[in-house]
Amino acid sequence: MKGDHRLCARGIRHGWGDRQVLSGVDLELRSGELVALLGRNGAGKSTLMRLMLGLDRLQHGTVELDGRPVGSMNARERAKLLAYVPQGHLAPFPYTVRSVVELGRLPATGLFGRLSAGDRDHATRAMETMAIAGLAERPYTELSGGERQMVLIARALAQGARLLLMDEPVSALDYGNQLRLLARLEALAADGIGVLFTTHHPDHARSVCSRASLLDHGAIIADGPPEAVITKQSLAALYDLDPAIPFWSQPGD
Amino acid sequence: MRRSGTLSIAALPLLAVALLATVVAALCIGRFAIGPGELLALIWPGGRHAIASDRLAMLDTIVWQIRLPRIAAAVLVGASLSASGAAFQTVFRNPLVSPGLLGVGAGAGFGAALGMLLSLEWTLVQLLAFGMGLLAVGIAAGIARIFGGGSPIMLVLGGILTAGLFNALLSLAKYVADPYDQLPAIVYWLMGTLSLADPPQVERATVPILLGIGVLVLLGRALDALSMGDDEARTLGVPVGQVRAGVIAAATLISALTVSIAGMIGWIGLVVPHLARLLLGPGNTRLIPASAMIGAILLVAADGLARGISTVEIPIGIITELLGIPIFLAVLHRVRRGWGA
Repeated sequence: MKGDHRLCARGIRHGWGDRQVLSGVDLELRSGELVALLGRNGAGKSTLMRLMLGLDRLQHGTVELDGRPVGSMNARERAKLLAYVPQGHLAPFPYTVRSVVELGRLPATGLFGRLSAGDRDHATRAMETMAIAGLAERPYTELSGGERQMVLIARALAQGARLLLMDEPVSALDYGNQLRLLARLEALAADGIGVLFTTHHPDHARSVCSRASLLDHGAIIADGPPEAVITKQSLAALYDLDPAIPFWSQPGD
Repeated sequence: MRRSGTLSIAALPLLAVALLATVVAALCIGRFAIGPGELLALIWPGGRHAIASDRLAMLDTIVWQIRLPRIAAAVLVGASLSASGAAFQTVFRNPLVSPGLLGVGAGAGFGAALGMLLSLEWTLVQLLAFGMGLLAVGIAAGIARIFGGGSPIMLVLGGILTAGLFNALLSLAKYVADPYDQLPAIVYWLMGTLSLADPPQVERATVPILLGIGVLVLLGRALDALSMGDDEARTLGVPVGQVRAGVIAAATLISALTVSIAGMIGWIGLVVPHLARLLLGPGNTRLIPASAMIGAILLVAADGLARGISTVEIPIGIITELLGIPIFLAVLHRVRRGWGA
């Protein structure tokens, strides 16, 4: 299922009660892009992501997947293109890694369908891509945070999804696992998969991403190539920092 | 925790064989002992003429009129409680949940007590227990829907509130009941017993219970996805609200039926899913039928104990509680690490 896919949010305004969280956001994700979404705590990153996934009802604006509104799409059809990768959470029951990844075949088989040999192959390939085939029979509950994150990405790949939305994928990982994960994401993007992830690490955006998007007070204040978007000035504005204190170092500074 | 594939594949057929063996053993055991050969002769169409006619009549009465309905009731009740317990634990993402979580037991307990208080005939008492069980869960679900959009945590809260309400009503019913006649009947029924299960009622309950368990098994993969969290299940294309409602409806229906047959039988619905998970892993398409069979085996065995320990029958609810706690401790020792502790 190669091809060019596109998830496009336009004019998103959203609030909880009296509080306006998003006030007119445009954001796009295409196949092959690796996009970092930056913003301080409470800036509305998660809300935006939930709306783009079709998890919450839109109040104003549109979210379209290949030109079709995500909210009214058939959930199974949507899941074959668009996947959500949550943080590597703890599950209550000790499913094996293989069973967790095979859940990614639900959109293909349907709720009452059985897994075919082809579905199992699909899951195996997804685990191989994420270099976790060796963990296949281990209980998901016994893995480290980094391994769990890889399993959840593999599940998204098993879905056959071409666009992935990831919620702070590196937040629970140590330095080494962060770098390994970023390298994987880069490789996925090189394979034509589009990845949008929220992060609190501007340096990650600069080191691997094809685009960075800054969300501040409910609006995108900058969106473009990371080296253009992530500057000392934009970060100072985004995180409300005093430019006089040293907080950002890059070659040449 | 690598499981050997063959054991895991053979587990369901093996459990079915074990269930059959348990049922046969239970048919033989009792104050009037029947040998397995004699039982076979009784069942086998060509074997019946080998038994003396006066003994044949007695065996027919004991096996078909007395023991089989009761054992069938034990199978149905054990299977229902365990299958719905497994489904509830998954749907609420909580391994400490039992089928009574949403107040079905409290509702049914009050319904039965009310029926006995009004001196209704037994069928109506059972119907009232069944209806009140459903009503209690309906109220819990209504509270969850009004205040929290039907989320699991609000369902639990709704269950606590309705259980509280119906327990208070039950206390009221006990308080006003005739202390020499009605009160002992209510208390005895609440302890859980299979001695009141009558054949027509068991027959009526069989098809709905098997259908209910079937629905839970069919929703097994959806339950697996649901155990990862609502958002993830939704993005995997699972209609979360409908699946949860379907599971709660099916589990509540069969739990309410069990309470109407046998009163309160505790611990089976909590413990058995853990045993099944140890044997077959957490995948619900296999976990639910395995739980149903293990629950049936345990309850038939517990009923054997209830009948056999002394000349006076002990309420089976007491047996399951006494056995459930050590089994649970043994299981706890094995599963602890999976609970995110």
